[in-house]
Amino acid sequence: MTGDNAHIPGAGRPVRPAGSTVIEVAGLAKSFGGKVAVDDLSFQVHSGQVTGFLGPNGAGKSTALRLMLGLDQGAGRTTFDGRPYRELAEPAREVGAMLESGAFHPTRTARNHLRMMAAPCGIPDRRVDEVLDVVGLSSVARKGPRSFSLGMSQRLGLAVALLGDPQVLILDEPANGLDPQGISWLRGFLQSYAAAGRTVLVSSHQLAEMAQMADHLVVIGRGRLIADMTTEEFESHWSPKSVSVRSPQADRLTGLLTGHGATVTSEPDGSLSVTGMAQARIGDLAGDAGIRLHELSTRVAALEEAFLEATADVQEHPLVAVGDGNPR
Amino acid sequence: MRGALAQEWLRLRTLRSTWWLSGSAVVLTVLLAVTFVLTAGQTSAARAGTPGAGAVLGDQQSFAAVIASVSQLGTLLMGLVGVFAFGHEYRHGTILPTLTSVPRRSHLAAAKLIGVTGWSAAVGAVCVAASAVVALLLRSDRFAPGVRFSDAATARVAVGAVLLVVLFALSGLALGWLLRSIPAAVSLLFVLPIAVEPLLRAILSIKALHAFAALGHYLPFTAGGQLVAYSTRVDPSVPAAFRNDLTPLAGGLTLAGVVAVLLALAFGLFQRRDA
Repeated sequence: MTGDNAHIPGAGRPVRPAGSTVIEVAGLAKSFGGKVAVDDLSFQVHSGQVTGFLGPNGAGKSTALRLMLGLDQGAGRTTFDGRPYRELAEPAREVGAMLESGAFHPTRTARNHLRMMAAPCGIPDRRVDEVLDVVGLSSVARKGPRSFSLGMSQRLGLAVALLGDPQVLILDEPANGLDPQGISWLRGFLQSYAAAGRTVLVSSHQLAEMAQMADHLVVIGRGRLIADMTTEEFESHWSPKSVSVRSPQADRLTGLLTGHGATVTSEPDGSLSVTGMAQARIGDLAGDAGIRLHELSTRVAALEEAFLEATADVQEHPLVAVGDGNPR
Repeated sequence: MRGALAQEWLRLRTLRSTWWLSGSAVVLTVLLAVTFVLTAGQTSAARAGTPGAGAVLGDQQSFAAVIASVSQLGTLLMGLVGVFAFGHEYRHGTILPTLTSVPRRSHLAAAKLIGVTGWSAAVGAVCVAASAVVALLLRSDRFAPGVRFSDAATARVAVGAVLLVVLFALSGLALGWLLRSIPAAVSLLFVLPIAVEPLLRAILSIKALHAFAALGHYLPFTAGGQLVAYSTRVDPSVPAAFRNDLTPLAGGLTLAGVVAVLLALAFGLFQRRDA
């Protein structure tokens, strides 16, 4: 891949101010034979930032993306600058999409595959060669993708999405199969794409990867929205170093710790989750005040763990907005 | 719509199978035409080399059979080109990028119909023309003196052969589109005309079923075969199970009707199904 990302976001095309709502998803729903895949999913995607679409495998990300693009039939409505995908006059020039890796005929050359995808919008062959260069596939442009590695397949998929130099990019798990260098390149690429005022929605099941790539996260589990917040908020919300405390005098302890500047949250299991105070200090304060403790343990939730917790058992915690969650 | 057509045109041209299937159709048609010319009018006695069995010169009907050589194998090969129109999209998952590049499904469907129709008509025409060239080059002393190209029934058979190629290609397209599986569509495309219909006709030839024998004339590929029938005369001395009473027009329309129903069904499902 070319290391130079600077020339990629097309010059000379008007871009909307960063932060405007570009993609509006409302009430998406779909089930397969009684099993709910996407459940009343609504969110917005704004320009000028990379939005990560995060969820564990099987959470319904791909189905949601396919619904958004009118590929699957289901309930709800998705608009791109106010219009559904099907009504876009030249879709590839407005929304570039990459859904499934390896979606090409094994013996049709990479270049011809791109020419085919470029044809409906009248995108010239010159641009086909350009995107092949951008994703670093120029040397295999005239080879059939049969022999491509997963990483190369992903890059060919990305090249398809880039053909129309679109204002919006929608990529489903683009980092799958990329080596660390490739991922780093992708991150830089998407960030510069967004920095040029464009809109990027990229899905992943890997929080760590998303945390480095995305400015904003839309997190789903079992087809439902779990969180829709900035990556920073998500991280601080779900992965603070916290101390888990159990006490028969929870109310007194809460007042005491809060009085000393800690943040205390009650957990559903009856324990308290304390942040902003070390374990020893909590023990000392409780001891001085004569409050009995049944448990006192520090817990550092790794991002992945936090994510798993956030997405586990979504039915019981349908939606967690910032501030009323259950950080541990 | 123009964009979708441009894409379909590229799809056909950038697929190796389009070229080798079409090439094979032409080559096999030529080989068959050569065989038909060389054996034109020969009695089985003459073919077996029986002493004294004189060669009989080919008549206009056997000349027309040479022109329609494509109806023997070329039709099936172009049926495969039809199967691949949607078959490959589902086999290789390209239906997703294809539908993101052409989100209006009616446009994609129309483009594929036009592409496959146009391509198969062109290949069919090339095959008929190639057969005519073979007949021209080898005819000299193998056909009776009055045999000619300008014969009205021969011209009809030539047009019928091209139409039959197109209808096979569209049957393939409809089957691949409906079943979304290349193996299933190819099996049906081959088994229906080669095995199922002859078997049904054989069953209908049983004495007890004689009253229904004429139904066998309407089996779609059997009926379609009438497009290349030289004689439209019904010979009542031949049992119904072994002749076809349908005129070329009626036979062609029967197959076209079945293909149209399959296409309509496939399109209806295509509009409603997930990609």
